Formats: sequence, C-alpha cells, structure tokens
Amino acid sequence: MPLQTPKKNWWEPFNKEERIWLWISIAWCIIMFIMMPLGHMWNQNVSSETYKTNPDEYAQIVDNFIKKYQRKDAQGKVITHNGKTTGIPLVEAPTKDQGDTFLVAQAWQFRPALVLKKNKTYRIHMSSLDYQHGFSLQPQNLNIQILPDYSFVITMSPNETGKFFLICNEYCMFAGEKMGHDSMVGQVIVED
Amino acid sequence: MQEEQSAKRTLGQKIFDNIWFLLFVGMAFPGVFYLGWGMLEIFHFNNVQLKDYLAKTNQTYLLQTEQPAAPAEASKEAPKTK
Repeated sequence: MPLQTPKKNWWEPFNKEERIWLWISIAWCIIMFIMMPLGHMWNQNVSSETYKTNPDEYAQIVDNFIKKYQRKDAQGKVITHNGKTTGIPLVEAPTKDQGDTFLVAQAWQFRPALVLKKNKTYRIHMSSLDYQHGFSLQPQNLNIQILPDYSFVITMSPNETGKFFLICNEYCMFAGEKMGHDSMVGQVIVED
Repeated sequence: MQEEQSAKRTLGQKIFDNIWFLLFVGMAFPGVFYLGWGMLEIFHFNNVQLKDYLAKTNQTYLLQTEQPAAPAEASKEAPKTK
C-alpha cells in the first residue's frame, strides 16, 4: 500500500540529525534576512528615487529631450538606432552635470536609444505610457520595474564600452490582438 | 485506550493535524507580509511632481508644448473707401 495511515500518535521528538538540519536552516534564514538591510548599506540596491508624473506629460518631456539631444550627421540629418534616418531616435545623453536623461517604455519599444560616454555619470529617468514594463539591462542584469505615472531614476556610470540591450522583463502582452513583448528591445551604446 | 492516546497528543501533532489551521497560517502569513511590503514601497515613494523637480533643476524647456502656428496676420491696410 503506497500510503499508509499514520499512527494515531505519530509525533516523535527530533532525532540528532533532524535537529542539526533544523538549526542550519534557521541560521541560514537569519543570515539571508540580515543580507537585505546590508544590501542597502553597501549600495547594492537600485535607487528608489521617484517622481510623480502622467503619461501625457512624460511623453512631452521625452519628445523635447529627444529634439534637443538627438544625434545628427554632418549634414544635420538625424540618425536613429540603426544608423538610418528612420527608427528609434538615437540620443547623445547629457551627463549628470548637464541635465537628466529620459527614457520611455511603451508597447513595445524603449525610446530613445542612448549613447553614453564611458566613465561619465548619468541620471536616467524612466516611465511607461501604458502598461507595466521591465527595464533589464543586459548582460549586466540590472533590473527595475517601470510603471505609468511614476518616473523612476537610476544613476549610472558605465565603465566599459560596447552595445548593450534593454529587454522588457515584465510580460506586457496585451494591446488588442497584437503581441510584441518578446520583441521589445532597447539599446544603450557606450563610447569612449 | 483512545482517551489515553488523545491525552498524549503533543502540541506539534495538534498543529500539523489541523488542516484548517495550516490553511489559515499559509494564507495569513504571506498575506500580512506582502501587504506590509507593498505598503512600505508605496509610502517610500515621494510625492514630488516631476514638473516641480524639472523647475527646480532648470529643465523646464522639457515641459514646453509645441505652440500652434500663429494665425496669418490681418492686413494692416485701411479698408478702401469709395
């Protein structure tokens, strides 16, 4: 019989091995619990600086930001993330001393694509115009949630050059019958 | 005999034999802690408006909306009289 009815009084005192494992697991729980406040003290957590906004206001801010900082070629034509003139705008982000950088998540794109300079510090605001999205910088694996009505700020100092990708890691599937969560990818380019 | 056995039931057995108590603890414990965590997050948000922050840091140009095109200027010439 695979399942046997337990004895009426089945409870027995812990034996030595059970007691050892129980204390090890309790000690580990306490260590993990202490790690959480220590993470705050050692600046391991992403900043939680936030401001209240709304989708219309934030969309206006991002448009004005893009107009001011969009990268242009020698002829004065704007350049987008793919090096052409159509696509996601490519922006040369201002450093922390020059101003703030604004990024918007919207089904299903991150806008604009950012060009950052190595070893400079940037304050990057991010908000959503529709659903909850996720900001996941890869391959560094920096993660933050992006919600409508709030502007979340992270301060970032890239220390290596290259092309990095932002992926949405909150499932933002629905807009009518369309689906595009899996193709929601943004770009961050770090230059010397 | 049965009375004797029930008298011997320990606290541990009493708890683990009570499936309704286990259900309650299983719902209440994460419920209270997740609710508390969520409340903490909400109260941790500050209430500063982004537009106030931009004004304070001299970035109000970001709030400017596009001005509609000005209407064509009316002719300043005086109407011709006969």
